[in-house]
Amino acid sequence: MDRALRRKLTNGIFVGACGLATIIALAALVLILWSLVKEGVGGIDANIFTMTQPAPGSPGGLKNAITGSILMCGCGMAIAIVVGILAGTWLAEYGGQTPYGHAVRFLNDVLLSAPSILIGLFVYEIMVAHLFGHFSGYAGALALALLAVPIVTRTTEDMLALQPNTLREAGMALGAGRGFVIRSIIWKAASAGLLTGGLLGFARISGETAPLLFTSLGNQFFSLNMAQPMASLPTTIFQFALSAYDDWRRLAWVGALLIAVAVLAVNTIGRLLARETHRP
Amino acid sequence: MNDIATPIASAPVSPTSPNIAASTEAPIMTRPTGELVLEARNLDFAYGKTQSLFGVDLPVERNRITALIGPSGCGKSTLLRALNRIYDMYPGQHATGRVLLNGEDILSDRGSVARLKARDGDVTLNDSGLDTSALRARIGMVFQKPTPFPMSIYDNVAFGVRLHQKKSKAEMDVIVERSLKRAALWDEVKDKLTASGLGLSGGQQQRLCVARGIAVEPEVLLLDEPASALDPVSTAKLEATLMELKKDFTIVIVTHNLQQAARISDHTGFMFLGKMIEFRPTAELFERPQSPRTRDYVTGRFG
Amino acid sequence: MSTAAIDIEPKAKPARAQSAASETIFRALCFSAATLLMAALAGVVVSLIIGGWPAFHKFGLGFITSTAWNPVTEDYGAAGPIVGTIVTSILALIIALPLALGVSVFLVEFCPKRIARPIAIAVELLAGIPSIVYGMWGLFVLAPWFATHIQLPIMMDFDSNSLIGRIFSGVPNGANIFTASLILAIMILPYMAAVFRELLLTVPSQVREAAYGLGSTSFEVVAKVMLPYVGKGTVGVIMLGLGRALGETMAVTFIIGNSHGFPHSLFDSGSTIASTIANEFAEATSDMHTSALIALGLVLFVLTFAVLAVARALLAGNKN
Repeated sequence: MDRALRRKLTNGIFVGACGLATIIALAALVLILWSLVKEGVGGIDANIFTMTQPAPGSPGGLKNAITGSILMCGCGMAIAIVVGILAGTWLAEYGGQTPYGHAVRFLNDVLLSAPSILIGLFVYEIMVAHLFGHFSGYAGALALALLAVPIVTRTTEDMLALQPNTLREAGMALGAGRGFVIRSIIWKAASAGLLTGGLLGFARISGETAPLLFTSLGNQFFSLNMAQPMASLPTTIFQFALSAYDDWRRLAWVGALLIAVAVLAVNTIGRLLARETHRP
Repeated sequence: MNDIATPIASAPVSPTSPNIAASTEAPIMTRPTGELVLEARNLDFAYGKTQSLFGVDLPVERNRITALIGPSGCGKSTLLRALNRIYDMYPGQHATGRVLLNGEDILSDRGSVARLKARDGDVTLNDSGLDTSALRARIGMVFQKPTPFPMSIYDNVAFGVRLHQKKSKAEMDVIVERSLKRAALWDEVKDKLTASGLGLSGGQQQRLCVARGIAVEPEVLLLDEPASALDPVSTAKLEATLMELKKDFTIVIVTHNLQQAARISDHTGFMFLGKMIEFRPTAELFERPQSPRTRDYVTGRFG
Repeated sequence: MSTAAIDIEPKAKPARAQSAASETIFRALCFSAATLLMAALAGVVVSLIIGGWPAFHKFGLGFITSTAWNPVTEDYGAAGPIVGTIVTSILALIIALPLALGVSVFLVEFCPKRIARPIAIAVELLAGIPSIVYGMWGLFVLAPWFATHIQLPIMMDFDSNSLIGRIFSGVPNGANIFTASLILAIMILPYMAAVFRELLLTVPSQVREAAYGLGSTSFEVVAKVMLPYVGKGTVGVIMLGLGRALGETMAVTFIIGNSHGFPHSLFDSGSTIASTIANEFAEATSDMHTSALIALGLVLFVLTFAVLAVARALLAGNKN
């Protein structure tokens, strides 16, 4: 086989292999989404949102789990947004280039990639073993906050750094102090990007299970009391899926579908927003 | 001169030789006759260890337009930015010398004097009591690239005023309208004051920045190559605006466009490698430049 | 000059908006937030060390090599979970890496621009799916399919004492090291593909065009020009994927079979550090049990930290 033909062949195989890889990846996505829809859609009805989780064999829904998730994610995001935006602002506007700033950035990345279950262990030690003495929704919210903060911090710093320096100079040239310029001009200019950071953080924590297993634990009853154990969609799915009951498993699929839809929707909105900010 | 023994360091400096930093030529200056609002005296400026301004004098006459020209890197923008202390934002940049605003030295304001005192332990240093923030309301700046704030046109103009004073809505409306009119932007935006400033064209944005700068009624307005990002039509509009503004304000403009300097300014300073070479009334500098370097620059021999 | 709208006396007090006090407070707030972040991470490490100390104290370094796991006799060893963690992660990497490379190269080089964007988004969607969804899919869809279509046929066709028979022995329920690795691979694939795609996009177009201009085939441009250009970044991507896989919990817990001992074959059930903690922590029978689990967590943290630090160092060289 002459050289030119051999090269053509190698190239052809290579292109084909890459295409095949893409098809496999897309096929995986399709398979997973299809299973979700097939198994979960049938179980969606009003009961899911109005009834609490049932004993096996009785009718019921996921109201307590959904409420718990919303409460803990909301609480966690509130903390994460405040701390994350302030920390990201410090990195972008004040001390980001100092040695301490480099350390903060590095450790932020470590926190970002740390296995979520270890964060759960930490919050367990602090809030469950020592502070409260028992599992609670607050502990769950704190664990989720710790998972979302590094995302918000990193996105905030990146988005603020994109703002041109002349914008800051223009504000200070009128006599505004640095902090005032940041709050009234720079934050506003980067607002779409900051929102993206919040959305991405939310998308991550809404599907997290492991850290909730031993911080908020779970609660079969409907409860708005965050100082007590609290149900959440992921933990309920975990419990129901591994059980032996068909109706519980059905509910687990419904829960999985709900989470997947919520996460994908938030992710899509976040990325659409991110594209908007990059338009010239 | 004895050829054999001539050391390199004392080689004669020819008019077009680049080795100017070592020379000690005094600038050729014709000081303005009128009242000086702003004056830099013997100003040095350095970024860290690199010095970029060497003993610069700059007299700025009230209600006139003073232009700074020179090739890239000559220090004209640096000089401008030293005048309103915007370099404070960047650690490692410092200025020595005197910059007098209506006679008060603005380089020795409260903050920097405190720092100097702390560093050198000299308790006799006097500060002029000036606060940098208030200072910046008296010396305004318009940058090369239009920088509208992400808020409505109205809020853009009102921003600086709100920093320093509390005004009622009626009073603020008057100020905003007057500033926009003076910046020759009112007719184009009077129906959309609540629209975002970012939606304007480049030329309009720059005039918005001018309106924003003059709303605080500064004593001096500094402009750093304000038309370099604009098309010719917008540039012409901006120049006309500046000529009108001269009645109420004092203007210093940095430009690399020689025709622009010749068109609109009353005094022109030519700078080269961080030194003020020649400072004369504009017509004289362009028609009868006294320094050979100035002559080479304004005739286009280098730039 | 017209009457000034602003009376700025040299010694006037500046407006509240930018008073020196509010500036200091704001800066201090921002700094505190950044320090809080550091404190949180420090807290994680400290709590892991304190919590795991009793177990390390009792078992010494043998903890890491022992395969025992007996809550009744209070004898714990980390070898099983550690091996499970490493094996599943590396296996996942072996499966995912060529796929990730293929996807990213396809998107950057061969895909028509119009459909490249939707496909890239689809791949990112794959990354966004929460791990518990992967877990459920793995347990209810992949595992039974695997058991029926792969495990059973192999077991029936090959003698259980032959080499192949021994590598692939195990209970045919689909819950084993191999399927867990498969799920992990699907999970880290989109992430690695995304990072790798960005790396490939840093290759300047002039370099690519020069290579094509010399008559190279796409394969040659990618293999001989782009990959070497990206260089260390590729290893960085590998490490990132590895780091992700090491810490993954829910997807693995559903499908790995959760047995404590040393897995003897690819189709044997096993456990990872994360799955062990997830399964046992809430109902740990004693303080020593809890401590052993936390000690496992510490081992996992050290592993992930090391991998991620290396990844970061390798990728930092490629940031433009």
